[in-house]
Amino acid sequence: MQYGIKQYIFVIRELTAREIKRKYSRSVLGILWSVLNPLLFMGLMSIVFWEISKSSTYPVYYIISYTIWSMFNVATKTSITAFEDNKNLFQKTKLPRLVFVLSRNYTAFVNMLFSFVALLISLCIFRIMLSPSVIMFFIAALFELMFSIGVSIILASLYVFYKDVKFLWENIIVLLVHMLAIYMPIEVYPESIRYYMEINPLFIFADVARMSILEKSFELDRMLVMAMWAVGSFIIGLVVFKSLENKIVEKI
Amino acid sequence: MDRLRNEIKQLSFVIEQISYKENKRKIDETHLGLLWNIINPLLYLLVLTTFYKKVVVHDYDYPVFVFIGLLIMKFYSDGTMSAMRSLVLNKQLLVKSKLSIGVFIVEKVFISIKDLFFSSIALIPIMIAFHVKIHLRTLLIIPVLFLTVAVVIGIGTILAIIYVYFEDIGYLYTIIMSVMVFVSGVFMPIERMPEYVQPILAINPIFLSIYISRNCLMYNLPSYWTAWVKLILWAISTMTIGLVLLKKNKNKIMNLI
Repeated sequence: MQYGIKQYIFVIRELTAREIKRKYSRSVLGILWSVLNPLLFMGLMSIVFWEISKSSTYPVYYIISYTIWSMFNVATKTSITAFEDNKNLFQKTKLPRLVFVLSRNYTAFVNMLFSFVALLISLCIFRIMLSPSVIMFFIAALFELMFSIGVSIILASLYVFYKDVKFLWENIIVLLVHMLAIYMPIEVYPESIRYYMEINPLFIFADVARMSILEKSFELDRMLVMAMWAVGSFIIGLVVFKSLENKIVEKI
Repeated sequence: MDRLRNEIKQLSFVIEQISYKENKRKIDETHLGLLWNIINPLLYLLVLTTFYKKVVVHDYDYPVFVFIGLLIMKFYSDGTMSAMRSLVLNKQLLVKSKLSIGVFIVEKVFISIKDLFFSSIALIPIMIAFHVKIHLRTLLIIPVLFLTVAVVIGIGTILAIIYVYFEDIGYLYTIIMSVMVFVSGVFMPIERMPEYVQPILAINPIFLSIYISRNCLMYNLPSYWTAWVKLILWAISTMTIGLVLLKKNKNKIMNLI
C-alpha cells in the first residue's frame, strides 16, 4: 500500500469537511440545521402519532428512530453518485477508490452525532436519565455505519453502469423508512409481517438504539444478528467492488 | 387581444421546450425512464396497505382511497418543491434571457402536471378492479385539478421568492411536507387525528383537494360547499400573493441572482 492508514484518514476528513461546507454553504443557520431538523420533526410527528402510539415517551422514541434512520438514508443516498461526482479526483489521483464512498458515509455519521445533540435535548425535556447502556446506542450506530458502507459501495458501483439505480433507490428508500417502525411501535403492525420486521437489519439497529435509551437494557441475540448483518453487508460490498473495480475505472 | 394571444403562445412554447429538455435528460439517463412515475405510487400503495392495516380502518376499496391521496399529495410536494428551487437552479438562463421570472416557476409545475397524468394511468386499472363507476360527477375532477394547479403555482411562487433570499426555507418546507403526508388524509382519514387539531387540518389545501377528488372520483358524493369555497379561496389568495410578491421583488431578485 502506498498510503498509510493515517493519510487515508486524513483524506476522508478533508473530503468530509468539504462536503459539509458545501451542503450548508448558502444557508443562514448552517450546520445548526443538523440539530434543528430532528427536533422539528419530533415536534410535528408527535402531534400526529403520540395518541395512536399509546406510549408516554413517544417523542423520544421517534427522535431515536429518526437519528438512526437519517444516517442510513443520507449515507446511501449521497454515496450513490460518489464515484461520478469525484470523477476528476478519481482519474488524476492514486487515492484508493473507496475513499469517496467512505467519506460520504463518514459525513452522514458526523451528521448523526449532531442529531445526537438534539436527542440529548429531548431527553432533558422528558427527564429521561441516561444510563451506561447508552453505549449500546453508539455500538448500534457504528454497526449501522458498517452496514450502510456495504450498501453504499454496492449502489455506487452499480450506478456507474446503470443510472436507473439512483431512481430505483430514491423510490425504495421512501418505503424502507416504514421498516424501522419509526412512526409507530412494532406492536401496532399486523402479526403476519411482524416476523419479517424483526429480522430486517434497519429495524434491529433502531430497536437496539431505542432499547438502550428507553429501557436501558439490551438483548444479546439482537446484538449478534446486528453484527452479522453489518459484517455481511460490508464484506459483500467489498467483494462486489473488487470484482468490478477494473470495469469501473475503465468506464469512468 | 392578438398581442396577448401571441405572447401566451410564445410563453407556452418556451415552457414546453424547457420541460421537454429536462424530461429527455431524465429519460436518457435511465432505462425505465418515465415508467418510474407509475411504479412509484404503486410501490407506495403496497407498503401502506400491508404495514398500517391495524391503524387504518380497511374498507373494501381502500387501495383506490390511498391511490387518489398519493397522487395528489405527490403533485403538491413535487410541484411546490421544484418550483421553490427553480429560480436559483436556472440562474444563468434567468440572467441571460429576457424571459419573465414566472416562466421558470410555471415550467416546473408543468412538469409535475405531466407526471401526475402519467401516474394516473395506473389509477384506471385500480378503479376498474374495485368496480368504481364513472358518473357525471366524475367530471368535477376537472375544476378540482385547475384549482389545485393554481394553488401549487401560487405556493410555488411564494416559496421561490423566499428561497432566493433565505435558502433555509428549503429545510423547513421539506419538514412540513413530510408531515403533510400524514395529516392530509392521504392514507389515514383525518378523523383519526386528535380532535383539537381536526379543524386546523380541514383548512389545509392538500386535504381539501384530496377530499373533493375522492368524493367525485370514487364515492360519487357531493362535497361540502365549504370545502369548495376554501379551496377557491386558497387558489385566489396564493396566486395573488405570489403575483404581488413577484412584481415587487422582480428587480431585487435579478440583482441577488
